[in-house]
Amino acid sequence: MLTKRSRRIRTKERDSIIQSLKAGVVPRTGIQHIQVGRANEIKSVYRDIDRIAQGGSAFRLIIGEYGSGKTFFLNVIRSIALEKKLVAVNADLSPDRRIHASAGQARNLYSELMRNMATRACPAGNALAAVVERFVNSAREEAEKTGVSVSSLINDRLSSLSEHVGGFDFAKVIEAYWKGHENSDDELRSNAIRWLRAEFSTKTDARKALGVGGFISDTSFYSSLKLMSLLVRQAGYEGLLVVLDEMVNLYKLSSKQARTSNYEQILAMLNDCLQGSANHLGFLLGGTPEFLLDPRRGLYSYEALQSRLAANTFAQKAGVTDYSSTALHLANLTPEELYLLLKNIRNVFASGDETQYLVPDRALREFLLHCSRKIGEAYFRTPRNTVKEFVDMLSTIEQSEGKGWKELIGVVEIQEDKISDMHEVEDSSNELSDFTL
Amino acid sequence: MGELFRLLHPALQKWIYKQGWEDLRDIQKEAIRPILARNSDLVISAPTAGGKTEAAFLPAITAIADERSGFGILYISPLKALINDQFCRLEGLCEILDIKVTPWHGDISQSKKKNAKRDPEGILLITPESLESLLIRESGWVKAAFEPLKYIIIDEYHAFLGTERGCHLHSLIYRLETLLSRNNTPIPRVALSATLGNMDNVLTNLRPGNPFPHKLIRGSGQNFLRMQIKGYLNCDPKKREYPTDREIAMEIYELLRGETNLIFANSRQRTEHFSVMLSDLCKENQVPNEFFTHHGSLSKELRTSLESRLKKQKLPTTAVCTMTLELGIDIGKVKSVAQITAPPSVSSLRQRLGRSGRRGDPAILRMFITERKLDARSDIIDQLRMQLLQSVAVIRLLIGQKWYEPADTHLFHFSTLLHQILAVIAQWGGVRVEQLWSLLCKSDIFKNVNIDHFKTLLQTMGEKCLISQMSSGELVLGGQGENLVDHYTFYAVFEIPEEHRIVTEGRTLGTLPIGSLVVIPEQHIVFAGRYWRVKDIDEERKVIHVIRSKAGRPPPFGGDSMTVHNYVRQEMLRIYLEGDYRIEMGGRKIEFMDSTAKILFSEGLNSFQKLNLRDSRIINHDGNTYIVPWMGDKVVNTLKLFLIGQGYDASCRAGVVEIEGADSLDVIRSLKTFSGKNKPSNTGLAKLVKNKQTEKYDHLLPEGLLNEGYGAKFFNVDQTNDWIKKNL
Repeated sequence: MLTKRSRRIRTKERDSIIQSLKAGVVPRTGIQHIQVGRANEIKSVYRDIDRIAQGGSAFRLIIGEYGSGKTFFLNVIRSIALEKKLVAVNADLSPDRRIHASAGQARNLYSELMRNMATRACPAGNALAAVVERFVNSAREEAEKTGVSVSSLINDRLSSLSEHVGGFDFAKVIEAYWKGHENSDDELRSNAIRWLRAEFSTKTDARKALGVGGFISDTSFYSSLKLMSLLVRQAGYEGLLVVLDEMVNLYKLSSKQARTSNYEQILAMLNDCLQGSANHLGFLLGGTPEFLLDPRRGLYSYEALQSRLAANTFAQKAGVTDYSSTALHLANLTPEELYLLLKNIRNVFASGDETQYLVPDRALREFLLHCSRKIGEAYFRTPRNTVKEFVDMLSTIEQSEGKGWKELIGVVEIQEDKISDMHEVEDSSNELSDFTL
Repeated sequence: MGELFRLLHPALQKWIYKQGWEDLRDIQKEAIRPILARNSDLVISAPTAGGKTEAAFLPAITAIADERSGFGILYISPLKALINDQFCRLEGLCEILDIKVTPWHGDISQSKKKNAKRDPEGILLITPESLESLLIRESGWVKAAFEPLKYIIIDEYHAFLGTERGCHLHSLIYRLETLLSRNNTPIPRVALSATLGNMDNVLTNLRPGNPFPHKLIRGSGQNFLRMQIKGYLNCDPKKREYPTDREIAMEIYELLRGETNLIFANSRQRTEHFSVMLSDLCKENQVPNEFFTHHGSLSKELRTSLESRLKKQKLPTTAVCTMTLELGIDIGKVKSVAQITAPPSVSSLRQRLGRSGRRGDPAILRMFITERKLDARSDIIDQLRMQLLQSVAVIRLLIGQKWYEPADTHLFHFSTLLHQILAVIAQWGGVRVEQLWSLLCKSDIFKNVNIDHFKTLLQTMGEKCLISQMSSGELVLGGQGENLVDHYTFYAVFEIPEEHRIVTEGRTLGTLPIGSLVVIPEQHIVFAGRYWRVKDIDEERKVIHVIRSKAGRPPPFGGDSMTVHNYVRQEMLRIYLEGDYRIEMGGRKIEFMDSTAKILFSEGLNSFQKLNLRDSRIINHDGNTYIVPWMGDKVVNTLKLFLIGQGYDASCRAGVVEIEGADSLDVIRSLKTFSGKNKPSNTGLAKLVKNKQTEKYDHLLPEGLLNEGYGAKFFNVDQTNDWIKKNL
């Protein structure tokens, strides 16, 4: 399922991979060119994607330490889902974006998901308009085939939406989009997209712009996702994959009540998926072990979730990993895997052409050695910065042919990841950074 | 009206004409350019009713007139009542420009807040506590709503100086600037303040640790003052209730009735006591009652109805009040101010005095001082007539030298720091240790706190489950921390005592703090200036039901003591040495005592001679040793605790240390070791004190920090050392 390394890499893909890695973020596209290890985990989630495409549902927690490559892993799955003709939406949780809230934070999360909607044709996101457009077009095509009028066909399809919670307004907004489409009314169309992106926050505005009395709010977060999964099916996609990362933000909520209501919502989603009452819909949630296991504020603090998410004790006793369990634990990358990762990056730089490699294998080993000398074992526990520095080094070598890798390795400065929800105000003093309670 | 006037928004110019103002006042003119320029902080200092509010708001409103979404001006006030008051003043002004003014504090209804939340716009008037609540609960909204913020106006700034609330205020503003990413492009601060002694301190204090330029605009307008100290001699010193109180009440009744006045009696208990005596006098003489009480424990309805009665000035009204009416609630000017017992400090007397003196009239101050009749057993404080002398010293410093107590810059404010650590974590979620350090301490907001203090504090907070650390190193709230932050009392950095409501026939009269409660059923009490009988006490719902009665006694409210500054005691010494209390002005000595006060004064001078205090600071008297250092309470406390540490039986009152059964030579010998082998530290002395909890979260502090904080607040080893070297 993954591409062989020897394959040529398109320049566009190559550049976007390098750009992302340089910025310290996970590439949205072409991720298969650098993925290493975790074959069992990928195989297992691959089956989830299949199940969604076949009308089932899936729910997975991807659990791993900071920097262990959760986001990377989630993006790999996401790109597999796109290949499988699913629509994927993804977002990071933050203090201002969560699953359940009363001051707009859940609506914010929904907006973010919709802005990041991706399809195979638009893997980088912003595909919502294209998906709705495709819904309208597919209706038109079928109308031409069957001789039924477009409007009655669309109404037919939308009526199935209307039966669901909040579906009436949802259907009316799609209808408004179609009308805008028919009458070349761009404003109406863009209002409909804005509504679907949950950018309306008052009834008055929604009524003025689209003639509907409701809007996507904090309380309709989950029901709107279900409606969206119906819509993408009707537009001809295989299903909807919802990827939520940085779930640790729920753990950090400072009110117990707020945490519990978010966990209740997670339980509702989990129940729907595991009991088969959701169709063509899957959830992947990425978080740290604390988020899952902490008995006071993690998911385990919520009794009903703990019993559903408990580890497979049978497999534990047998000393094997159960890759099918709801909570999938990602192991840290080993130094060997990190070595492979650097090799892959070198390969991307050379667009897959071995003769164009910028540095020999020995340079990769030296580089890792240097990193381990600089910041100790942290370099492979949090590969993000190691990778970033390596990419920077390769770029430098590429641009200034005179410089050899030997002199460059010596000047590589590598920094540890510092995580916080607060703005960075100024260079904080280092006197306290190693402080532990 | 001049060129400066034309810089204001045309609609405001029209409004000013409509008010019938002939011209802007000097401070109002002077403030226009700097406020419009927005490149500096500003302190506007002027006496009460000197037009400070307009000086700040006229140009500030001009600057935000075209802003339509988000708050343009954030106004912070220490008092809810002042917010309500400013709201009324600003509403008319802003109406013509169609600018919204939103008051926001604990007593504002949810529906009004919801409205403002939907459309944040114009001016927000808020207390520090409500701002804290917004930062913790709605920081996402705050970030959006304050995006166009142009000014932060702080009213009654002097009330914040050197206090834990002031510390909280600075932290809040800095956190707000951080949230808005405005640390490098500061939001100009405009502080409105009463005139204080050393304004330089006030200026540099306005933005701790930040080199943003600042300016001072100082209003003039010192009015004439008429004042008198009236002395009373209490002939039956054993009796709890001074018979002289009734004399004072009758004098006040005669002098003040028929006009609008304020009476300050220092404690809430005394306030109730005088208020009820005065209304009884009205009843006895069959005239309508004009004397009402006003203090922080009274219900809002009672307070505001009295405030508006004072403001309307239709009926003669005298409020017997505590410092609640010291701050700038707009009640207009009163005819005169009466002060019963010595004023707590120069700055507070200054504030009280500022309430008096209508246009063209002089301000009038009357002080009523009671001293006990001397007999063989009188202690030296009574003999020296120290209460009277302290009152005189305060007046001389205020009028003769125009000096006021500066804010104490040695304090650590650990309790407030703990509060802010919890608040910052609750606001952001996960925060790294060094971020907390640079936000709160490196920013100079808690400037006396060093890294070791900070680490110790965090360590203890971890042990007490107030915070915990994630594997990433980020700090989050712990179980106990969440409980604290979740409670509505969290937002204030000062202690809000649990209180009983006092209710009669379903109407709330006010509250009594539980800590000081000695009220029992059938007891007769005085509250809100009236007599009540306690029907029953509902402990569960914390309600005391009362019905009207004919007699009673005010319940104790529990009070706070102020520390007396070095300067005041030294002024007292100067008066004893010179033997003259009068103030020299324009070559003339001004007399301000009545005959009894004069007699008391000369008694005090006699005792001063007799006790040989002219030459010595340590004397033997009645088999005890007394130290009279003529220094402030910090030095006095230090001497006392040091001597206790050396095994003496020492106590202190009114700036005098009494060492029971000790010989003065022994005491001197011991004091001489102060700078040597026995040299104490402020922290070390604090260790000898049993109950050190003076601030809200002191009980959560590690012992070491509690001692250090307490030591800095109540002791001063260095000054004491200097004093010993000079005087022994």
